[in-house]
Amino acid sequence: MSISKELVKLILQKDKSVADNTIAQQIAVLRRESITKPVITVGSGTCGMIAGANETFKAIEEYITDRGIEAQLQKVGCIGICSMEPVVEIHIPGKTRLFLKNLTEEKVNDALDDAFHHIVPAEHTLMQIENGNLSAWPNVPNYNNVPFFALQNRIVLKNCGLINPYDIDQYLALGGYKAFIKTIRNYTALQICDLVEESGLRGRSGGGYTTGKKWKTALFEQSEQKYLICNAEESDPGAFMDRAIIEGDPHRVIEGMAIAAYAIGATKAFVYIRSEYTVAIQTLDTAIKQAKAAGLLGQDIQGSGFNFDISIRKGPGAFVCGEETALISSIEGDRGMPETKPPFPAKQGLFNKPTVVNNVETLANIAEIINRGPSWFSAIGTEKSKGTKIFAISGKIHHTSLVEVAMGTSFRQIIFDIAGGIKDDKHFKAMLLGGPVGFCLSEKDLDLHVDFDILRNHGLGVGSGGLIILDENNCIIDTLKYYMDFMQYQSCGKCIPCREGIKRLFEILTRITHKPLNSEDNSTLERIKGIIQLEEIAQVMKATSLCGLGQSVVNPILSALERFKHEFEEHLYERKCQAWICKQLRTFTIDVDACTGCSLCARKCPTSAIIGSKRMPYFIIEEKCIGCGYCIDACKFDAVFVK
Amino acid sequence: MTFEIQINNKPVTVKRGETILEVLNRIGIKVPTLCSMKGFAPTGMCRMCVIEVEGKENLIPACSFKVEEWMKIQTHSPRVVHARKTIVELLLANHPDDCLFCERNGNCELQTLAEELHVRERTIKGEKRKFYIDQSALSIVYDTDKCILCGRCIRVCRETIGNHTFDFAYRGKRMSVLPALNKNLNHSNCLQCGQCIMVCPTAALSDKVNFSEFKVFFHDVNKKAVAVYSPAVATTLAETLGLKSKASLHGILSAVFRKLGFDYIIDSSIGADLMLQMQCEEFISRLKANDKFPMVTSCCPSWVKYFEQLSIDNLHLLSSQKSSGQMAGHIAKRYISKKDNIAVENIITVSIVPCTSRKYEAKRPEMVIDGITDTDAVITTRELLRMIKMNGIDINNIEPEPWSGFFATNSSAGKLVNIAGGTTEAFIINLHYELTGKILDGLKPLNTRNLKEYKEFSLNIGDHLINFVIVNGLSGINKVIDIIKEGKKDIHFIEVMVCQGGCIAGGGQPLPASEESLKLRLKNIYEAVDSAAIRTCYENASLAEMLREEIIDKNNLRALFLKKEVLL
Repeated sequence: MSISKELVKLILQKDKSVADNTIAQQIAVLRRESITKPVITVGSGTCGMIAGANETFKAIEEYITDRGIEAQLQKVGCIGICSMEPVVEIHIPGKTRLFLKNLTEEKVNDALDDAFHHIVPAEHTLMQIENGNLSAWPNVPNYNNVPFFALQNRIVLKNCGLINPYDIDQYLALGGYKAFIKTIRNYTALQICDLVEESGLRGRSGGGYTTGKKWKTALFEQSEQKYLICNAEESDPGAFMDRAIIEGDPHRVIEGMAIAAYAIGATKAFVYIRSEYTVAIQTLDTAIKQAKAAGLLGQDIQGSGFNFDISIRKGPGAFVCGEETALISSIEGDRGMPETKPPFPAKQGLFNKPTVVNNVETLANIAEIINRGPSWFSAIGTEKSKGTKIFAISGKIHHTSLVEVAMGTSFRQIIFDIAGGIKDDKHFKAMLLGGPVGFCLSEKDLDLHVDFDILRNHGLGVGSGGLIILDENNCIIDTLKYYMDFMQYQSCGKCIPCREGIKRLFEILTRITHKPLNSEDNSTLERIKGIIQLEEIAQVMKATSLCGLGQSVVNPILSALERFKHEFEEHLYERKCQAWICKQLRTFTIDVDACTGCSLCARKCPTSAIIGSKRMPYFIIEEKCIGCGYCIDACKFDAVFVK
Repeated sequence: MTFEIQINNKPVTVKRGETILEVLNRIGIKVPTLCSMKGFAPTGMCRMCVIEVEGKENLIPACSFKVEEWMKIQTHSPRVVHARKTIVELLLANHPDDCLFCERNGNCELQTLAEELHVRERTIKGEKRKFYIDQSALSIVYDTDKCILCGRCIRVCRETIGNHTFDFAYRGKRMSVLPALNKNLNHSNCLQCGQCIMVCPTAALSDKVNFSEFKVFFHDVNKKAVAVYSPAVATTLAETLGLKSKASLHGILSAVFRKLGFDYIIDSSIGADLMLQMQCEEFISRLKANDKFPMVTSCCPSWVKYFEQLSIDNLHLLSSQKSSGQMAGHIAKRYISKKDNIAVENIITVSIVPCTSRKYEAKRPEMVIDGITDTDAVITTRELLRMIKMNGIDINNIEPEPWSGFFATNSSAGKLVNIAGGTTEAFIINLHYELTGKILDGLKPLNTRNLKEYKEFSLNIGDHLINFVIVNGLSGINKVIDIIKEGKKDIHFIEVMVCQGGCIAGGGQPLPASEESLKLRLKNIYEAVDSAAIRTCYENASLAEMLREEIIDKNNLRALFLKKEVLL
């Protein structure tokens, strides 16, 4: 039984005390202040599911039914530390909330046996959330003492992994939708725009345009219909914060959207989300239905006269549809291709009506700004970049995770202090900030601070917030090649420089990672000519492309050319890849003394590049070798060497 | 409101709301473009018109930005020229290297740009798109490799023709312009009107070349080749080749066709006269029965195809004659056979028209009677010009030759049917003559001669009040479809031309198409119409003589309309 209507009533009334005892009890359960029966949650975001959360969930379900334990079992979003999924929370009445990591299917029984007998399953402990009234688990670090959480400033991710995303009651019990109701009851649209502008919130999708200003532009446009679009088309390889927010705390996004719509005078909003995000779509859809049932969406919301409705639009998963004008075309039913700006969507957007397009993360900040006031928000961060930014950290990093830090934090802090440094104690080589339209940064840039303007002054940008870490075993050229290969199919194809350029950049990079085969394409002259063109084409693309995609798709290449010139030169002149990633540049030889002539390598070689006769040393014909490395794996006598 | 901006360090007065490109064109600074088309909203696809504006980090396209007070523009700074050149080089890197063998050699916008920007080396090398050549349609050849994805064909087909045959498909390096479901053109709803050819900057879209097909007959003593040319071709030829004297156009054309190897030369106006006569007869019989209204013209083959593709049951509303060109071919074969005693199968008729769709029409099943095709080959004005060039004919110094002798007279209708609204004008004159016996004057107030997309008017002819609708280009077609579907009987006559402007703006005319040349052609044709001695088909002596001698059977001149299922 949902008590959402009662909870909404509670927000509306002045006297906050709850008369009904059962409701008061339910609220205490929802707030996890005092529970009557155990609550077990499983981190079942997309990352959790990949780690086996569904199986863990089933195992727990079996465990409690087999033993007749009366416990609440819930699926929650990702708590942020994806590499430790499946994360399971066990909340036993009287005890604090205990979080277990890496709890896969087969470990469930032992861990739950321990926990229900008040023994800490030491192997799996992640942390606990201490609460004065509840008895703490021994030898388990508190939330505030785990460096991963302690050094973050979680505003947007506050609830992720800690509340049930499928339950509006819990969000309401924890103070949700208070900001929205306050907005429609106490403020005019202009006041909200002013508040948001005063807070200094800037768009989190990369451009860094002041959100309040954008809203005002739309607010001052005269039109009978205006639209709000929430951009959840997150297609950067390596960015997953929008997905995690929606999966973990969908009502925060809905509340932000409702406030934004009120501020610009929109009555209709769309969430444009990529269709691959099935879990997020499902969560959001449930949340919208719940909000409608609670009277927080729909006609004449809580008697304010404000009408507002949200629909979900599934994007086909095209990278370019994250660009706002392409996104608008896609919602209109056309091919997702960007249009020339101006006119900006805030003046003439969806169906030629004023439209504000905001990113998920931006919208998720709004409720807290209204609740706590703009001065609270602007106290966080740097002079011109306020609030926090979420980074999705992946690659060769200890904790693959979502990290929300105050603006002004350095990348070194993020990577080494919060995310635990490089995996397997390898050496840091580079970080890719903002995916294929972002930048390739080196060790020198680690001490840069997260700030829109500082980064811009360095010719860089925060981008989406995807942060991929590379170590010494990664090759920069190979990474760039991967990006260009991805982008040559993701460019919409509308303007010539982007469509034709990316293809050529990819080919040039491919050429320098290849051996000079006999074909004309890979001749030395072509390789050197290519590298000269690389920057030339990239600059023209940057200067002439129609939309942000074409203009910034060359960023990784241009920034890498600046920082990793030596690696390009090494590939070009010495035909060598230090990381041994570029297979084609590897040269294999057989040690004549070590080879026993067993012929195993010759039989494994896919191109018949190894010749010889049995019981005599074998030889590799370099021209035929494609550098696959099968021989090295096959040899039992360590006779094959790579140079 | 006007204000001043700086262009290439000089002050220029501009109007608010003008795009930068419009200003540059006005003051005579040429900035290259590949995707822009006059009368269409800019898309900013080709990025050829990029310019440098002070204060903007990136180059901006002149076509889609409006002038603003603060602008200081450089149109040909080294950075801009370099960017343009790189863009052309990028295009060329993905373009077949067969300029010498290309249909548009010497007439290609990409080739011109490469020349203007002094591209003298293949700097960028790499993989090229390799698809296929779509030869499936009867009038249009689509060479996908040569497409530079400028999107002009898509826009002209969607916005001017209103048919939407092509669209972009796939993304990034796989992007291409394709008909529905990546099927060939013959499966698509293409009307074969050829307007896409008229705007294509390269040879991606071209008409199917037919002139080599019948050249063999010229050397066969048994075969006699007949040129059936449309009056629109004559005017276009005069205009394109810079013919100085208009007076002896017929004589010069006779000489040209004879030099090309034709034995007989016939003006297709005779077909138009017969068509109108039959149309009037049919209209009067429908009027008597007060049935089958509105009567819809069937002289534009693309429109007939469109109508058939609608998959509606009212196909009987189409007027049931073959088009004038087909009639002319049919008549010519029978008449020459009778007069000069040649077997019909030894007569080859070649239709010379400004239209690509006729190529498709000539191959429709009802155009073959008793194993004899009405028209054996159709060539466009463009092909005729090519033949003239190939045969080294200097049109300005050619000795005019006398007319072939057949069908010497014709009415002004043959010229009128080539213009949007003209069929209706000719029809009104003839119907009036048939019903009242008088030649009608003073049609001017009816405004049939403007090129509005949709016109509706009524006129008293004899005792009848007749309501007319004229549609020019299919963008105004939805209203007509409603009328047809509802079977509104208060509208009596609907004329539809697929190409905006009519046949004189057809898809087979010389490239590039321009508004000026269209206006010139209109003026020339109307001048000829207004000075014509014979105005109704009933006064045409040749036609009357032929009908009297009963050489042709009118039943063979009926068209056959069938519902067509295509991919829409």
